[in-house]
Amino acid sequence: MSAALLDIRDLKVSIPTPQGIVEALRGVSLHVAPGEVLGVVGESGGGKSMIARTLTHLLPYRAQASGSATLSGTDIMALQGEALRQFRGGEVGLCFQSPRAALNPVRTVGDQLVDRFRAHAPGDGLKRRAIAALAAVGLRAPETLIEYFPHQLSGGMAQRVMIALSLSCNPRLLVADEPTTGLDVTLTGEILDLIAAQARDGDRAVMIISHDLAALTKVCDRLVVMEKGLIVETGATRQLITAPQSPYTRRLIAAVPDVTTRRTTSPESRDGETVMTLRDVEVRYPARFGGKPPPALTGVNLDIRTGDTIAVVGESGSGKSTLSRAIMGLLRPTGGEIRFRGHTLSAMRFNQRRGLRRYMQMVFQDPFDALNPRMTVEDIVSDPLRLTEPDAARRSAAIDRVLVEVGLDPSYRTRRPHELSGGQAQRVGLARALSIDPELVVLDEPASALDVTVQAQLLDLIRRLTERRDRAYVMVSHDLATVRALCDRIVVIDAGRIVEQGATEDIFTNPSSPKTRALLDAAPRLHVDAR
Amino acid sequence: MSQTPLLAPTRRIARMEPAVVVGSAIVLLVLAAGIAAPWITRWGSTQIDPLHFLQGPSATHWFGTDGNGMDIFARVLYAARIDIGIALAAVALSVVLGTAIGLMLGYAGGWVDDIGMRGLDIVQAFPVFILALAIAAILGASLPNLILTIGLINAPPYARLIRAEVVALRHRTFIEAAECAGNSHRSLMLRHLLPNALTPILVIAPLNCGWAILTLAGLSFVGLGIPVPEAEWGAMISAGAADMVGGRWWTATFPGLALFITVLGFNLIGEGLQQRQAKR
Repeated sequence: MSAALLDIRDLKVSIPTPQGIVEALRGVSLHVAPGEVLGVVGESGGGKSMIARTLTHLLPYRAQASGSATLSGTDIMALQGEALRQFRGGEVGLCFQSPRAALNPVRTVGDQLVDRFRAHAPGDGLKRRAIAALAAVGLRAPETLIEYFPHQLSGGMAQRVMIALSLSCNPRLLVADEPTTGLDVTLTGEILDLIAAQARDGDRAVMIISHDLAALTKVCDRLVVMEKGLIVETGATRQLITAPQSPYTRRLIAAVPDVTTRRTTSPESRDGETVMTLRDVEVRYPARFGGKPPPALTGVNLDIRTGDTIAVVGESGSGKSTLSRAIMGLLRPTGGEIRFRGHTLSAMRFNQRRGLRRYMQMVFQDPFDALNPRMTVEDIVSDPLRLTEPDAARRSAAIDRVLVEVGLDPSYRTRRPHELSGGQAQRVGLARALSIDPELVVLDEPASALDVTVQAQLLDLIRRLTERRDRAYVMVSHDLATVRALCDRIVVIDAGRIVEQGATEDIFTNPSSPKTRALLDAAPRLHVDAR
Repeated sequence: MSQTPLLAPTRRIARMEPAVVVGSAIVLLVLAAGIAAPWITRWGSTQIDPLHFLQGPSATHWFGTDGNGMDIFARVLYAARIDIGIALAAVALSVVLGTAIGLMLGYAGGWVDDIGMRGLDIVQAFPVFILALAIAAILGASLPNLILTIGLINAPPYARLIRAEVVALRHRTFIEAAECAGNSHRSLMLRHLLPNALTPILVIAPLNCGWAILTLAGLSFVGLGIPVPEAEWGAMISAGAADMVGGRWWTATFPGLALFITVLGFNLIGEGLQQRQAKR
């Protein structure tokens, strides 16, 4: 291996907060060579992003950093003023976590690229160079694209623009901080390939920071595993995956959902009582500027019976969240009919739907956003209970019971959402949904906002709940691997239509739609053979 | 079930902010002086000392006397009751009224919101003081009418603030979750939206108290405030303004100082709360 381009030694970062000093990095040493792709993996709060922020002098206010970081001999920590300005963007390109937030919303894509060129490599034909930069990251029609504003870009396009920006001035080190968060599985692969390719083509050093171990194994030469501000393990990807040394690495590897894990219990004969039927359901959102947008959902037929666990799988924007909201009566279909327990849900008014709430509940994707920040856990859990249980003492007993059921100690009752971890918050969300013993539970990506190890625990809890077969569960997910072990039936949805539905194993062994096959291919798995 | 503590955010915000502590101390001190006036001075607020008209500050009359022979010190103290009392009552009315309107408009959305907001636009298109003059003139000068006038003209900004908060909160997941939990419209608004929308207005309310006192003083100054001879700072300044020309500075200066200090106190509280909120 050639000499390291980036060399970080004993990097420590501490951040003063009102609650005391947080040791974000506690002595991190790592190096990246030209042409190498280094993956930094770990769960949130592990300090991964602080490495990227130290390299670009973007640490939080009043954070203290010590140790050394050099880029081919230049002391990064000592840079300031004009030298720092030339270094950022010129020597190190940084891809931020959420591209849409990192792009200036009032300037066009082209303007933002031209700004970069002006700062670091002024000259003629800046616009032409901007077009070339966009073409280089695989964006189609770059001539039109340079006139676009960030809000006109899709998530994947925005991330490509972000990459084009960070590469625009030909930096020797490219740092990507969680570049695929919020992207679909199919897009995740493409974006990571694009980033990794920069190491091979330009003889650059590339550092990818991510929580997604499976995705990193596909593109990285070496991996660094971080936990609580420390590097717990480092090594070549293949070696690290096949022979992990630290228990934390083993836990991360174990948490990668395995596409081959099947549901252990067989579905009972499908003669459960029909809870809900959807007939030819169509949802159209109102047009914004005159034009008629395509329907978010169209021609959807679905029967849900007691004991069913149905997975609705699709990419983001496919309409799966719209479907779950239509099922819950949170939005009214513009066509077709939804019947629930003999009532036409789709035609009911707010107060009539209220009467059915005790039979149907929902668990949401973002656990924190789904909990009222001003309420305590007991108030949150008892919110639906007030529909069925006027007696406060019995309600209180029910809260304890359901908290235990979702694996939370009843002492959590008096906590507020900000005092909970992500996993705990989602358990509270689950407890709220189960507190009134509903007949139908919709789970909208219940684990996707959680850290991988927590994700595994929560999915395990959900699996145990569904195996009782006393309710109907509809689980929305973008990830086929997780639903294989959880669901009896799969509904694949694309561009607002159901493209395939059937028993889980049939879908896995014999997918008929190309969309299903694409989703199956993109499912996360550990790549150890690639290199 | 424990009630959601509406004031908890303010308490948290107020903690350790020096401006809030100093401001609160000033306002409480002025208010306490007003309440304790009978024990501090032997003169009543409208009691006439027939031997001393327009006398400068002395041992008997600390702040001097006005043209009717009334003790200025006593009047400045008693006026604190009325001025702070009206300010608090008027701002409370604005907060309640504005919150109710803003909450309903933001929650209802659609054409209800459109019409309501245009209504607020119309009210706010009038210069505030002119509107206050008009309403006060129509209703007639009395204490409840003054509270009503100042409270009414001041409600639209609160309605706007709350509506903006509610519109932003309306599409948060926890509101959807609350709908799924079977909450009624009323419960969605009061239990789930209101506590989360309230913080910004609790921060600006104290600033507003200072403004309310000034408005009251302004109305009194032009003769639409508290009827004479009741002690009120604005009215006292108005009456004393003419004396200034003759070199009798004390009749207007002391109530002016009291007004200044009280408004400063309220502004310090509001400023401190805003600072604190900005830091979070």
